[in-house]
Amino acid sequence: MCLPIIGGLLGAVGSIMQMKEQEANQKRQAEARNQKMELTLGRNDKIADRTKADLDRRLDRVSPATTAKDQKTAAGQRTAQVKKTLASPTQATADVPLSGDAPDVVRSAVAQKMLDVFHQGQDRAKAMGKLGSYGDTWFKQGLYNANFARDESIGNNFLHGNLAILPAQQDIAETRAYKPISPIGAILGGLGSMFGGGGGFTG
Amino acid sequence: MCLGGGGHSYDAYQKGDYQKWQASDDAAFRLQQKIDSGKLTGPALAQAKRQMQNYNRDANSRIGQVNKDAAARLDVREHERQQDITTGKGRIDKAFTKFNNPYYDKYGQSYLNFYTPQLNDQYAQARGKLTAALAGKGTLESTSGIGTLGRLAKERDTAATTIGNQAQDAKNQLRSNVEKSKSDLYSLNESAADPDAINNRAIGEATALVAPPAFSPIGSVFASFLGGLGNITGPSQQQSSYYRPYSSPFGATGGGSGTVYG
Repeated sequence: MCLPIIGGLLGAVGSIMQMKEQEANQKRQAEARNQKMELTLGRNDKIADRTKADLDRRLDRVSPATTAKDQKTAAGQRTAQVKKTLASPTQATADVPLSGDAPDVVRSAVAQKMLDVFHQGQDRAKAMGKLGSYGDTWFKQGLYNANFARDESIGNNFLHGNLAILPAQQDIAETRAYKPISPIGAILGGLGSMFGGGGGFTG
Repeated sequence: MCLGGGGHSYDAYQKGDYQKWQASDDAAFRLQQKIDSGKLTGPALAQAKRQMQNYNRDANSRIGQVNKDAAARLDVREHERQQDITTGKGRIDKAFTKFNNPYYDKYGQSYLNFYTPQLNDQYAQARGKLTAALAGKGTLESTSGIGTLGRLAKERDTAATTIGNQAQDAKNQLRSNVEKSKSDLYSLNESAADPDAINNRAIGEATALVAPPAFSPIGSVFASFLGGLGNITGPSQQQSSYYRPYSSPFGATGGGSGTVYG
């Protein structure tokens, strides 16, 4: 008469043992998967931090103060390049083949005319420098963009590489975290059934 | 085993082996970067290369151990791939260091050195013809004669400043080509993750970029100016081929720096 009761108790204990072990397994496996994910996220966070720092530097270069400074530099460089081509007024004056007995007033008039031409050339150089500086400034911004895009592309490559191997690593970690369920619970459940206790979780 | 909690395969992370491998790989990577930078010379360079050989030997000897842990194998291979890409990037940057501001300035100066003498030759010829024509009419030393010579000089300076402006555009165009080439190499580097191959490719591209483009000779700059003075120069001058209809001073290049090297 006591056997069914004992059997029932054994079956219940067996079931509880198996359930507990399964829960522990699931928890271990979940932790193992999460640990791998956190490791990967940690690596990718470093890449993201570097990219963010690069982006901050890039954005700083497009600030009004920086672009104004870049434009001023570009205008100066272009003006200097253009001014190199101007003929000196002294040489231009000497190149005019006046007769040996040309009056001084004629020589002065030629020199003044060539000086005027030179000044007009300088004004034109400055205007060209100013006009070209707009394009030069945004050309430089394009170079900054190209540089940033190259570095960011590498960062993205690494980021996706880390993510690509994550599922496989999680699967391996999950497999490693699994511990075979102890047969004691099943044995107790079996005994419980034998003694007529019924039930028994066969998990 | 009967009581549960069975053993599992080799775990390089738990044993601390993976961390040791990674530290060794990182040290090898840093040393390779130092070697690639060119800052090491003489005995220091020789020692660094010997040390690299040791690192490579260690890496080869632990392949069997690494392969016992599938997760560690994935990590090690990905880590190596990323280091190879970073090494390749460094080698590309090094191959392209010669394309600096002085390089582009030299290119701009070459542009001026090509076109300015042609302009000056044409100016000298035009000035000679004009001087002869004005002297023939007896107006060389007059106000109008001086004014005409001044206008010719201004025409010369206008063409010269345009050449100078286009030299700057040419520099920008070259820089743009260099940057494009560099970006293409970066993309290839990411795909291949082969530092030696990308190094050879980078050196080749950098060399190809150095080859100077062909420039068209300058067109006829003063044709319209002298053509407009036909009454001074006389009918015989109008037969000269110098009085062709005006064309762009810079041959067939048209406007814009993009077409400078035609």
